[in-house]
Amino acid sequence: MANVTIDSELFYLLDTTPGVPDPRVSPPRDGFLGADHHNVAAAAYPVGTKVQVRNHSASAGVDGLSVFCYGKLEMQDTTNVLAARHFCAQHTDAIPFDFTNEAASDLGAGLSGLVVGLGAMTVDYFGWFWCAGVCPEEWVSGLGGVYYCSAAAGIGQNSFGDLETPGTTAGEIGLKTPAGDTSVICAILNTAAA
Amino acid sequence: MADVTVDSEGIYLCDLLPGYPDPRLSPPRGGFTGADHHNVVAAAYGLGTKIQVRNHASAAGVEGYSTFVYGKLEHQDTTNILAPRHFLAHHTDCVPYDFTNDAGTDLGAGLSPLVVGLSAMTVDFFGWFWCGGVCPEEWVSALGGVYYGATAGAIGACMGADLTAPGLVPGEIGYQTRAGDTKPCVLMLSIAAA
Repeated sequence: MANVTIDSELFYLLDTTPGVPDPRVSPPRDGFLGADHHNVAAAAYPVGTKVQVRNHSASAGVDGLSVFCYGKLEMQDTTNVLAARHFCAQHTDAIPFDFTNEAASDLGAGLSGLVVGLGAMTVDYFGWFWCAGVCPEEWVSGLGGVYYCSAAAGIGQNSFGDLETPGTTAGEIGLKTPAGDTSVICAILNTAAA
Repeated sequence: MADVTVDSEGIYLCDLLPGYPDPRLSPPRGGFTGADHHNVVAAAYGLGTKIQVRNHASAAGVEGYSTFVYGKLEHQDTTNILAPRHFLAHHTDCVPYDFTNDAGTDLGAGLSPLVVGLSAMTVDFFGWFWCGGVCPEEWVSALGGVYYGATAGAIGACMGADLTAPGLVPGEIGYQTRAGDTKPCVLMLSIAAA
């Protein structure tokens, strides 16, 4: 598994978490990784807050809109602890915006929406996740680079795959072609994973 | 091919492109086909900018919300050059918001989001496309009228079809009944007629 890869510029996420960005909320002054609000024990924003930003190709990645959401790392894989570019899914505690990158505690392969971690976090801490749009690598440089796919993902609509397979450098991953009518389609690939 | 039709009031588009409309943006002063920003060689808005408007049935079409997105006509079919009511898909250059109505340069049948052209455009020029919601025929009158389906379209969720079949008067078209692991990008509210 994790045998195919795709560059961060060649896919985008469809938002499968509740709510839309609040245009009155600006990006955090010190960026989405700021210590006052990202990876903190007490939520600094209401859980589920979404902020939309524009990514500029002149800085990094592709031109387009990206969305971050504020949530909690409810659990993480003990081997592949959360890092930038890890896919996370909805946790089985059934609380929206509680995420995990561990297969044992996610809702099930393809049954959940998809978000991406921005960097290492402590379990039960709150912070930002990339949840929609093009890769915001201008805003979080650690998001740029290679993403791993759990199966031969095809061009077009792809669902979240399972998190059972330890990833390689980037850790757990989960893009693959939908497996059935229960899969949530949460990413669109603009080229084939290789 | 192109053997069934549905009226513009009988469909709406599901927006599968990155980003949300920015409520701080007003519709362009000259309308969405204004010469200062539509079909222009240099982008007048950020790529991917979305504007949501309300369509009023008392003016034209049906009551509801519509979304326009700012993008680029990356390529067009040499026979059926772009015109109002043409469906377009992602271009194979893998750049978000680069569209084509040419089957030879799209991502593939059913694999791509769907947008609709507002008017004739020059290849490599920038402008607005209808990407979500009910048909905004109050805002762009040429969008009202008949849309052609590649096969017998059914009520409900439909995916983007291929663009291989030359359309009738309005040119290339692309919607059909959903088939397989694809995400619907058009909802049909009435049966397409032969």
